[in-house]
Amino acid sequence: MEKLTSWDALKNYREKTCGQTSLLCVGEQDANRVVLAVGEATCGVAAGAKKIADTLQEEIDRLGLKNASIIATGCFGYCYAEPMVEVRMPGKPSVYYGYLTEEAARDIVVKHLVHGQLVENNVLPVEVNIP
Amino acid sequence: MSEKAAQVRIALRNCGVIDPENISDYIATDGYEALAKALFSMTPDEVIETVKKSGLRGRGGAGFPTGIKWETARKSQSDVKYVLCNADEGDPGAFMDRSLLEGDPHCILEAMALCGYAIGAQEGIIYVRAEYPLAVKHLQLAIRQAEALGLLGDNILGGDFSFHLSLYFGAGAFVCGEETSLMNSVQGGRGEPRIKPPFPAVSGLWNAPTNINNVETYANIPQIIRNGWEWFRQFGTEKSPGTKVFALAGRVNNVGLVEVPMGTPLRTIIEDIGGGIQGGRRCKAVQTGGPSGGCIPAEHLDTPIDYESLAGLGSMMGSGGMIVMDEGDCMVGIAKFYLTFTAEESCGKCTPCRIGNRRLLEMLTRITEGEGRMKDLDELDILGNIIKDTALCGLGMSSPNPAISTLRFFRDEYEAHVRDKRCPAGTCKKLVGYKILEDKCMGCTVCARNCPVSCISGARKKVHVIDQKRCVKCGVCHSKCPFDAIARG
Ligand SMILES: Cc1cc2nc3c(=O)[nH]c(=O)nc-3n(C[C@H](O)[C@H](O)[C@H](O)COP(=O)(O)O)c2cc1C
Ligand code: FES
Repeated sequence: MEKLTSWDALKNYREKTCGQTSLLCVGEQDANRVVLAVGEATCGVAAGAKKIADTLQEEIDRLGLKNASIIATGCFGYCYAEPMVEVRMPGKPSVYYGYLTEEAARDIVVKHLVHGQLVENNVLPVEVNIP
Repeated sequence: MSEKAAQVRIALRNCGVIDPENISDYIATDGYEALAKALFSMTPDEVIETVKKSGLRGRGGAGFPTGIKWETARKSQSDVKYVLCNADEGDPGAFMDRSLLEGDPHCILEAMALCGYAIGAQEGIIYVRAEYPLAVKHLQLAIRQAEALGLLGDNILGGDFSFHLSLYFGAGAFVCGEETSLMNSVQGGRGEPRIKPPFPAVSGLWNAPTNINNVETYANIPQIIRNGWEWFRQFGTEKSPGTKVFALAGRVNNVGLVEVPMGTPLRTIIEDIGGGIQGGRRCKAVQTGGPSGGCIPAEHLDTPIDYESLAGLGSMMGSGGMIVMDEGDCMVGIAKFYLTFTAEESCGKCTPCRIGNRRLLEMLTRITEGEGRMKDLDELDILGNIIKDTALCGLGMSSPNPAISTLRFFRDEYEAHVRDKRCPAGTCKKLVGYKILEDKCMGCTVCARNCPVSCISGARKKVHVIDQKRCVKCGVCHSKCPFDAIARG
């Protein structure tokens, strides 16, 4: 990696590629992408997040969804509802799912990612203000 | 995301949002922008002025104004200075700092570099518990990534400022979270505190001026520098600006990590964010401040959360543990739980803390076992206050708080233990017993089948009996009996 040697270099770096794998910034080529953000902090892992992430990946592979990818984030604070996953799609508000089981994880991939339907039972009402 | 949400996330803004193992995610959310802004458009004094005006106070417990601490460290003349991060997080049940370090490690690195620039230090150390392996891993990775991009190390972003960061692992002693003990520990000495002054900002690690802040305190810094102190002050109260992160636990439905503006009533946290008490029961008290704090009774739930209000109720903000209790929790038992912890963790250097806490614990133990005397109640209060007044460090100065505050608000519960040999919550094992009510028992055998020590006998459809000698008072029969035929008393 090349070192950034000025404030402008930092700004340019940010504008180029930053946050793209996680869909924190979105370009034209990202329009059809989906990111599943699984909470994999200690609390999430203790609740079984790794198994859920594996299940999501298996299902994505099985269905050959080339536009979907998984990232691991930290704790979102909703520890009571772990394991949880956030479904990010460009231009749409995120959907947060909690209390995940392997079955629910497979449901999310099939229903939400393929058919665009919510998996109602696992939707978490998330109310936080990030100013 | 909602504008009117009770939760406002400043410190936690990236937690659960970015991938903490990917520096590009942090930079995408304006990471390292505050550092660049400071290095290229602000003098160190301007950085300190901004932190001072923001009114940010330490989130590690005592609430000391961060800007004033930084200013003192800046004014202390020395070639070598240090920036320390206190990531020891010793309060039982607290996990705010762990989540921050795991979920947003770069934000702590950026804040420490900012502090280094402001006070004139080139070296920083994060004192992190070895029991936090994921936090350690993410920190190590973050340091390597930041160095590779020239955001840490020599000549940051091509400028004159250099700052190096390393980790030091704490071995899990509560007292090592106290700043002077922490520095002794880093120097390879015993984790024992020393008298202050001199304060670390004047003479700290290796006798050099040292700024030490808590993880959450640092987590606010980049936002303050990037957005300005006025922005920060729109949240929270006049004397306690900003937000506070709490680890919400106990009898609420939604346990987890919450961040609310200072001044939010306790009730909002418990009812709106926490989703109320489990099983529709009633809240009895809220414990804040962990082993240094106290229990706030339910009638004070409308108290706004800020440093002064909580202290006024004999508790304290502490680092952010918040345990919600209901009728099933015994207040004497809670005080004993915390005193057991602090008596165990006392380093032993000063007499009031080493011996005084033992005596407090003995009194509390007597009371919970039905051996208490009425004069113990007064002595608890007197001795507790003597320890607070005379202990060497913050451990002893605050360890009697759980006992003093429960005695203040729940004296009747203490008296029930002493006078009536009764535990109203039914949790003090020596004071509860279980008895099968002959007129109600249907002989269904549920209790006998569920008793873990098989001390209940009786034929089918005949009244059962508990062998009191073998009963361990676990209460399983009481909760399982379908006919309410088991009395607790
Ligand atoms: C017994 C004891 C334990 C402490 N444990 C911690 C801790 O785990 N984390 C922490 O940040 N501060 C802890 N403190 C407070 C520190 O001594 C110090 O005040 C704090 O790190 C200062 O940072 P702040 O101004 O940002 O809050 C503890 C204090 C005492 C007396
Ligand atoms: S401060 Fe450690 S024993 Fe008193």
